[in-house]
Amino acid sequence: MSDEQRTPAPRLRDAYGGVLDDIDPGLGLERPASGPQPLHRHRQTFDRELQDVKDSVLRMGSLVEESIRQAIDALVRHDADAATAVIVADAGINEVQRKVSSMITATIATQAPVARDLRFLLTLDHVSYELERMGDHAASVAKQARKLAPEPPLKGYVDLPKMGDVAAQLVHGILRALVDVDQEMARRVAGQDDEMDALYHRIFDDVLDLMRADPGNVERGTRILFAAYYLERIGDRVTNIAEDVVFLVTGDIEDLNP
Amino acid sequence: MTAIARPIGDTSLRRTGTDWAGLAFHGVLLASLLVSLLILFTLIADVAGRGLPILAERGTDFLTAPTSSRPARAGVAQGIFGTLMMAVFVAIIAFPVGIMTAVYLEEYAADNRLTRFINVNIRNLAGVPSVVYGLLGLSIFVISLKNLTGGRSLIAGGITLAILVLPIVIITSAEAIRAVPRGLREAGFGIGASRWEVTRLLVIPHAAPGILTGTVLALSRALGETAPLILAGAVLGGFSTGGKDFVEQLFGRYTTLPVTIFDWARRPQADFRELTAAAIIVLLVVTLLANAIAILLRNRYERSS
Amino acid sequence: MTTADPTRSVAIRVDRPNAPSADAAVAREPAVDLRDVSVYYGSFRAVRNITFDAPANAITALIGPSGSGKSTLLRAINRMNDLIPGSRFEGQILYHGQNLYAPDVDPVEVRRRIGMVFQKANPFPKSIYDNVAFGPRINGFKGNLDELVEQSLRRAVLWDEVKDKLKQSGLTLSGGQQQRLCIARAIAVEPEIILMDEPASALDPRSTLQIEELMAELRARYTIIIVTHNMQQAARASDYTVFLNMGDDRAGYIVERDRTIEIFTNPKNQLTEDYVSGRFG
Repeated sequence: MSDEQRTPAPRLRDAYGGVLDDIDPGLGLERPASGPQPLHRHRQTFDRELQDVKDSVLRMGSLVEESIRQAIDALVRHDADAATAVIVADAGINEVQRKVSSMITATIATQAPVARDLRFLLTLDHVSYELERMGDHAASVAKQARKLAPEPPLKGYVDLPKMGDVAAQLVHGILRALVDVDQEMARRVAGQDDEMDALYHRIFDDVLDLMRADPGNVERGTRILFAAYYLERIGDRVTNIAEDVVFLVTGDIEDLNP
Repeated sequence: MTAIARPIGDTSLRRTGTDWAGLAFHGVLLASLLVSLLILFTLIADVAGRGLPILAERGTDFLTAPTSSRPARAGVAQGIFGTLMMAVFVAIIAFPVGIMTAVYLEEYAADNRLTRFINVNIRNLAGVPSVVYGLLGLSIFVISLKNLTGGRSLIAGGITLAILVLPIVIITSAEAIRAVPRGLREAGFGIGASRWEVTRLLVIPHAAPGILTGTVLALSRALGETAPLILAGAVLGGFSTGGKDFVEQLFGRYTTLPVTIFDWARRPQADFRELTAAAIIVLLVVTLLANAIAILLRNRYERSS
Repeated sequence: MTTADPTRSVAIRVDRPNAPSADAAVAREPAVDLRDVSVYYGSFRAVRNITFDAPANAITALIGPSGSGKSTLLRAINRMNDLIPGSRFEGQILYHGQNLYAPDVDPVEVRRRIGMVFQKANPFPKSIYDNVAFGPRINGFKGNLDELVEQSLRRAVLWDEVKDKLKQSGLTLSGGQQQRLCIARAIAVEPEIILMDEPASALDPRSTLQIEELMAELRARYTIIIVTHNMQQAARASDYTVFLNMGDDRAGYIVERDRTIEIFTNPKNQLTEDYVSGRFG
């Protein structure tokens, strides 16, 4: 369904109005052309509500991706204000998650979906929860960035910016996999989490060395470790979402994070 | 269905003996049909046997000659005229009044004791022997209103007959209207039609076939009535209609086919037996024609709506 | 699938949205406003003290167990109860500020503005064209009747299926099509409000969904009030729901009235909760 044809489901809009409007459109996350198309016009209202929920989750994902990039950016540029902005914006993400959850509840209660529709909605509910936690993690990174801002950088923050970049890419990738319900892509993205783990271990080792070398590095080093930890948690949550996508497609629960 | 008990555990589906009661019932029904047909056939055969030769022999003369005391010259022309006029009177008086009464009773009258009382009485009137209507006609239209109707006239007889069949028209029309499904009326009201519009545009057209059937019934009844007309002034015996124009004939003496038949049946001359039979055939034909036209009109109406 | 955090997934309270667009939606002008309405049949009171309003251009559903007076209430709105001898009305039904039951109000006019679609489709025994044209004709419509018929049939999503057989009798259509014909017929007199008394209860599931989708489209132009005994239908299709129950005095009364989403996710009244979760009725 093209953008112009689609009007949001009226009663979700009435009840939760503004979820779709308040947020800026995502970072280039186009509406998929592929994916299951409605076969006939029998449940247009339900399809629209489903689409609204999906849209909301996607936009939430865009917000989270943005938060991650901005947190890392604030860190690199020593911009305490930018870091604060990320922390404040997290409240917005939490609010959106609550609304999304309510929308999903409302849709399940009133449309009585079954089979794949139901699994999809439940998946989206879980995804929104994971995204909200990811937002929290990004805010935690921003908090460290704020504390680190007045200090000189510690060895170019080692691989932290790279880790942040990978994290943002993972989020983008898994959202794409979710939208297209593509389990191959989900598995690939989950595999990329290995890179995150590798980066995390390297940062851990590097920072420990730095802290052993000079006690003056301990505070900054610890903060960097925290930031790295949160970014690594983001990666884990992306894997959780990947497991959801696989479940959606196959109906099987697979552990993609051994 | 005979309740032949089966032993428990017997799951065979085969018949366990003949259904005698069922067969007997079937036989009785068939026998009744045959008896009815037999009676009908006998009557027709008797009448046809006697009357057809006369019709064959005298042909149109029989149909155009007035009644007479001489069998060789007697004809049913006046009878036919009178019967047709009766049909006209019934059509222009009983049908409109009867149908409109039925519409009022079913659609407009409130369902209270008065309405129910009226309905019961109309039913009773339908059961009143037709002779009584004859007396009614005699006392009111022939005697009291002598100046208006001309006494023992066609008009008086026609009105009497119309009143006689009025209850039939009312009752059958009311039935037909009552049979109109409630949903149809609701649908009409639902889109803002007034009661008058609903009745006129929806109820009556839907009930029309039933109403028309009622009129056919009433007409058949009217065309066959004899006793009330005799009481109300139809002529038994001969009379002359020669030289009178239509209006004069309305206010003048008259007879109808059934009355003619009654008259001839009483005559002692043996020849009148055959004439009677011939007249009966004519009456049957006229009645059938009248019914056929009415049914044709009804079917034409049904198809077009 | 890893489960969501259990502390988040139960007893979800629906947030009251603060966005201005949502508030504007709540404050829609009502199409009809019922105030303290009671309907009697003779000495028997069928519904008592009914007060609610049906917002314009929205679908309001009346739900409740048998005997709760839903149909009676619906028929009171367009004064169809007037046709039942012995029925009596108390209270007010305001429509554009006028009380529909004021003594100088013509019920026929009321029914033109407030149309009705019935449980069992009841098209007239006339052609499809004449069915739709009936209403306009008796109202003295002077314009292009063909156009009006086509527009009504299009709005009822029936035009494509019948455009080649407008002269055929309406009774030759299938159940779902007949019901849509009745909707087209009701639309043709250009009402403001359409009342529907269990419009899909006699239809198969596919036709039912068609009617629901049709209702969703119609609400852009009309206000719809629907009685349904099918709770799932009310949940799927309506914007607002009024829950009626039969009291001990056998009269129907309003238990709760709210946005449909609220009624089905977080009802305020225990009785409502029991009813929508199928524990009684």
